[in-house]
Amino acid sequence: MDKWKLYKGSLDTIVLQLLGQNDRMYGYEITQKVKEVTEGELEIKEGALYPALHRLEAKGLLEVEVDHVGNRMRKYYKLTEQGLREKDNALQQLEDYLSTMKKLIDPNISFG
Amino acid sequence: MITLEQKHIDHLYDFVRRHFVPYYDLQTELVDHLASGIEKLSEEHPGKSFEQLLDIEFRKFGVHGFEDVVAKRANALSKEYYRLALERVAGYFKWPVILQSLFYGVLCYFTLTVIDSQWLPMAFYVFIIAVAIAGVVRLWRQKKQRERKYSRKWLLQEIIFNGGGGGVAILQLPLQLLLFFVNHGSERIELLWFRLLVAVSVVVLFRIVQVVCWVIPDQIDSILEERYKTYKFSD
Repeated sequence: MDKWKLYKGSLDTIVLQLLGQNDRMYGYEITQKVKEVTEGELEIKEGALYPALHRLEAKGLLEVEVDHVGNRMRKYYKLTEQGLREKDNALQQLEDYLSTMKKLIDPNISFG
Repeated sequence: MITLEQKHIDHLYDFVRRHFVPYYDLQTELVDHLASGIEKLSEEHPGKSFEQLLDIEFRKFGVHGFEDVVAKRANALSKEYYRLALERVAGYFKWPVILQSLFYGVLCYFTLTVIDSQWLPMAFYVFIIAVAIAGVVRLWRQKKQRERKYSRKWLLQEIIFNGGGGGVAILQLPLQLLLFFVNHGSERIELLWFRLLVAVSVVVLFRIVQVVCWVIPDQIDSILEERYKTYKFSD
């Protein structure tokens, strides 16, 4: 199975968590940070990252700032208050999901 | 690591435009992404040219290139547009403006009661469709005028001038109601609830057309300025 398919469902949570740990980030920086943190295990696809960022922005979870960096403009994303709350919810849901999956796939657990 | 010069940035803007991204807000984000990627790649492949590095970076967007990014951005902004439109339509049903809407509704209801013709509801919807067609023509003219005046295109601007959905979506609902009456007749016109329903639908449709074709386009400068203020909005 394509590993990316497993991660894709958690893309919003990954983005929210990264923005929770950093004041603000731009698209390319997010792709590089994920690559760095996961030691190359996960590479976020550009074609999926920007739609996710735009969707979260439209939901009011992210706000944007545009700054001039050298000879070009850079769009930074940061969490709103609502985004901060949503990040905590999303993390909790992800932890619950992981715990459920672990129960399902752990061969040592008896189902009675 | 190389730092891209202004000519490279101009080339990247041209590149994303040629790959079907006509909107400045999206162009800016994609240009920065490509530029950052090229700068990073130049460390790993010092022998490769700018064009070769751009090709590697662009391939990361997949076989559809920027198509998905543009489509999904349009989808997210359309939802924002519908919220804008809904707020303004709802504004016509709040005190004291609701008095005006009520007046139109009552006028419509009593006209249906007094004239008592099966054709009258259809005449109302034909009127709404005629107003909507005039509105769509107005939107199209305003869009052309703005495109001549400003070189930069913004995605939200495009959605506003498309009336939120391809320009003709605004005609669909009154047209469907009209077709319903043509196919099923309006023999229930003598019923009170039926006349009420027609009166309410006519007023609501009229307000929607008014908001989509007149109110929002007339506020376009302030809406775009608010949406894109972070770009220090200017042409």
